[in-house]
Amino acid sequence: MELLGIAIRNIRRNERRSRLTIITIVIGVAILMNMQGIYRGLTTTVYGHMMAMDTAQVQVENAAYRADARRIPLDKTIADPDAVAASLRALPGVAAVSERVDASFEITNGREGVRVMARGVSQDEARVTDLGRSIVAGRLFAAGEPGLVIGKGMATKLGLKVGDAAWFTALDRHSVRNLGSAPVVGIFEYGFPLLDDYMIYLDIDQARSFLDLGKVATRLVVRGSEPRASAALAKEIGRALAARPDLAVYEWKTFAENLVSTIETRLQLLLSILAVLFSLIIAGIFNTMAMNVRERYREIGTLRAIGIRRSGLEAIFLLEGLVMGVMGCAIAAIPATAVGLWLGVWGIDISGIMPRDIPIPFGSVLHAAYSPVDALRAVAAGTGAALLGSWFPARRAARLPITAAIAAVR
Amino acid sequence: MILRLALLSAIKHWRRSLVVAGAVAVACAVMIAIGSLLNGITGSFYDSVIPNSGHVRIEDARTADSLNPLDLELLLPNAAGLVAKIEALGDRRIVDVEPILGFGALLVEDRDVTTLQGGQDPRNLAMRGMGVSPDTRFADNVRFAMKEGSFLPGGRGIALSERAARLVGAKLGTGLLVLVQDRNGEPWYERLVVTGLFATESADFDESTFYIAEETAASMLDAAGMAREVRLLLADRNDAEAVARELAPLTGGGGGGGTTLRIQTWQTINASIFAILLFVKILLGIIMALFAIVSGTIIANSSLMSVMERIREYGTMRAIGLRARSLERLILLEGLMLGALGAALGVGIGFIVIAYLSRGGIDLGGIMESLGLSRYNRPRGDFWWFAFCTLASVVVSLAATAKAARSVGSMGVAESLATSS
Amino acid sequence: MSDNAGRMLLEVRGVTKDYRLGKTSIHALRGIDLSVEAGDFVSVVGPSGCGKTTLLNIIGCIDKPSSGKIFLDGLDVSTFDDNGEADTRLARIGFIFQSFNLVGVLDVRENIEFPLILAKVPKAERARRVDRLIELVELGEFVRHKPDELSGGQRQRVAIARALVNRPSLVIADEPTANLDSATSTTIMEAMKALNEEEKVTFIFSTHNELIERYAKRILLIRDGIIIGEEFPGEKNPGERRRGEWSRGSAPGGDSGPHAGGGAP
Repeated sequence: MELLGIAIRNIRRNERRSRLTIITIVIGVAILMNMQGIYRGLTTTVYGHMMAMDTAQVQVENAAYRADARRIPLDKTIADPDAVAASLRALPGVAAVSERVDASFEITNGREGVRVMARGVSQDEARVTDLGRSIVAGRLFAAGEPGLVIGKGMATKLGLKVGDAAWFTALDRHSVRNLGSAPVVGIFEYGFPLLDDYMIYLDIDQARSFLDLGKVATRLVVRGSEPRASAALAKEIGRALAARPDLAVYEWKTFAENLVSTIETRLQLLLSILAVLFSLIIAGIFNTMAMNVRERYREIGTLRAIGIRRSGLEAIFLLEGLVMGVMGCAIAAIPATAVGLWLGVWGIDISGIMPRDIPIPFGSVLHAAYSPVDALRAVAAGTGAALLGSWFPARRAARLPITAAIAAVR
Repeated sequence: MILRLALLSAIKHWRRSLVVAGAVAVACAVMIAIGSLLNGITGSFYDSVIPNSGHVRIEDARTADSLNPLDLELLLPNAAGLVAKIEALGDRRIVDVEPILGFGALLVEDRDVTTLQGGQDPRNLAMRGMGVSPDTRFADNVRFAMKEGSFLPGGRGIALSERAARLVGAKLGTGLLVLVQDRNGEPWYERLVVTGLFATESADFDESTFYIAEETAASMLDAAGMAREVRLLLADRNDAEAVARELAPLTGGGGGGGTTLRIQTWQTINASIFAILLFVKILLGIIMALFAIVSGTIIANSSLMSVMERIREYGTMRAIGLRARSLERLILLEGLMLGALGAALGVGIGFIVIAYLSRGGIDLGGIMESLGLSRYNRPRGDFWWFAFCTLASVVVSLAATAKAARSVGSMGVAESLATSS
Repeated sequence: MSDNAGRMLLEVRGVTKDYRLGKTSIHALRGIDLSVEAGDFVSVVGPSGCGKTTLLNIIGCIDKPSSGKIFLDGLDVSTFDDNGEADTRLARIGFIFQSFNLVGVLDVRENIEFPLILAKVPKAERARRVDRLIELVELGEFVRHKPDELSGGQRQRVAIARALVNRPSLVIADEPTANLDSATSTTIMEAMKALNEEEKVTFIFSTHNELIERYAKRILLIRDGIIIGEEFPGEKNPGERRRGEWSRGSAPGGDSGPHAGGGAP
């Protein structure tokens, strides 16, 4: 405790220098504190949206599908989807499984037409994604019912309301163009233009018959009981389907590769920049502490002469660094908390900043998601940097021969 | 001598000089790297996206709000006339004017009936066709990325990407069925021969776009003389706004058929890319500012220390007759030298980092492709940016030293002589 | 270096100096009157804290008096601004310090040359003057040495050369031998005395070492910020001694320094 007092007094002795050093720690720690929250907020929102709107957590496809995915092939399907789905439902981590048939449709209101992604879904769809909860007008079709659920953007642009008939065409499995029509029974809104403008849902059996498919499915979509454990879930399903080389299991990230790769490369970039920033901070602390030691050669000699141990001396200087680190963290907490409150509670309304056609489901307000661990991690980094920077100067002070230290004319 | 004195002092206190120069170098290198990264993005944007999308574009005003941008209702009825009128202007700023006929089409594998076996249906792929002049100047990204064959020799044929060709089982020289609905809603198809295979940097683009001759497209769509848009290539992209303004009277009745035309410049066409670039710029700007602050603090600290340590020496020099201003200049000179050294180091490190990163390019993620940019960003060094970073580093270093210089300059001589630092 | 010995070089009129140290005010000088003729060799003697250094600093234009005037070569330097003071120091005053105060990164030659560079003396002239001084202080074989490669006596000889190189009217030496052993102190004082006699350099130096003060032609005794007496050791007539009430034997800290006292000159 006495050592702590000495350390604090020494820091105050060179107030200007200490202040400058602490500023660097404050900057580093404040950035680190907020960046984690923003990043987590971004990923949980964006990834969460992606899973809830579209991909769920894990999907099973025909093993040959992925290579040809761009042409939305109807010839690479799962032949026995019901059986596979049943086996998946039996797995412990699985909460719900839905069958889907995907196809490219052209939908028209009679005057203009647009190419869309059509998704034939079973009633289970409402249990793997948020489709059911996102219907803003009408309802979801019943099993086997001919009816379309279309996005709000598409409905507005095509002038379609619930109850209106929509016409659609698509090439069936034999590349024969079929024409069909169905009433719009529901309109959904995810707030993600890509889906709201270009996605329609219909009953899976309706889709199968329209496309001349048998009891097949393009994919099985799985939601696990543990929302964050999609990788583990994918692994487990992969094990369960090990005997089926004709099937392939994918984690949701595969279907949002663009999104995930973009966010993760940004993270790597930011992390490397942060690493450089912290090495600068460490260098700054090292510099300050080395100066402190050199300036106090005589004092060090005197302290040693009156009987302080090497370890005690080392502790004094390490404590000095530590106190600066802790002070830096404490000060950093003020701006970090302010920004954190702002971003965490109110969030930034990014709908005005982000262009509508950017294919990232940000939602309209970006919230940072803070966790106490962030603050701990940032504090650890700040104090760690301070200790690391003080380490060598402290050791140097401790190893100084007493006579040399006392004699130093400084 | 003063220079030598500053130099010798810097060498004597080499460890601290190293810290200062190092801090400058790191900040400078980070600034250079970040700036070059940004420059790489904007550079590839200016080099590839803009020339391909044209500097000025004339299209139907309803296009922007249309759900289906390939709707044939939105074709310009008298594009050929419009092109002729613009060419008649003889404006030297305009390098090229071309009608571009974009349309939605389905590519279907062309299988001989004899090889069609049970259950094996021909593969198909919905794509966007671009009807262009065979010697177009608006497909550089494709024409300079040909892997096999050539773009559209003789005006017949179809050029598509290797990826797309694989998906529909086509090869160079094989036939491919192109299915469209013409303006009257009638289905129509044509068998075209693959004359060129390309591979651009964007997988998205490759899987979505093919090229055929404009005449072929017009005849298939029953749209002779029409185009989706008229694109202009300018000698200088900064003329875009002026040219757009001057074209406005031409488009009044020029489109004909009562359609309202809209003239867009490359700025408005790529508004969303600009929005993202601005966002990225602000973010990187903040990061750069933070680096400047942190390294500025370190430099200020170091120079303050080195000055305080030598305060007696400075007192002696002043006692000998050195003026306060000269002393300040001496200290600033040392800061300047270390700043310059650090900047030079930083430029060196920056060069190496850029060279390293631009070998493979930095993967910026798939979103870049969705925006029409390459996902692999090759940072580009820019002389002016290097110069700016160097200058900024030196200025930061000088500014950080100034405080120390002033505090010594304003100290009394007797006081500094008595200081037992 | 002044050749017109006997001319009035320095006049100090009613100089006081007050410092504030925290809440208390310290009167370092309490009214000093003093005249020094060109060619004189003056020693300022007194215990630690008596105001010796303050007086020398004020005479040397590196500190300002709280009141009073200082005339150097007839100019009232107490009215000069900072630059004027600097130029005065450069042209008219040479300094020798207790701890030598050489510029660590410069070698012997460069240290001596430094004031000439500040004074913008042409290169050839600089070389000539520096060479002569190096010879004078007998440092010929050490010209390329850095200060930390020299002994204390050698360093102080460099400092002396540096102080003389600009041909100052007055050389001020604040405890020039306090950091030297007695043998070296003697050499340094002999060198200064020789310069005074042969080159007619005017010296004012301070010391609290009795043996050293004997080198002076004139000794000023200072205590508590005023001159309390004057001695002329060169003159045989002890009646000229004006010691006042101050008794040498009771001088607090007078000769308790580690290097004070010691062997005979």
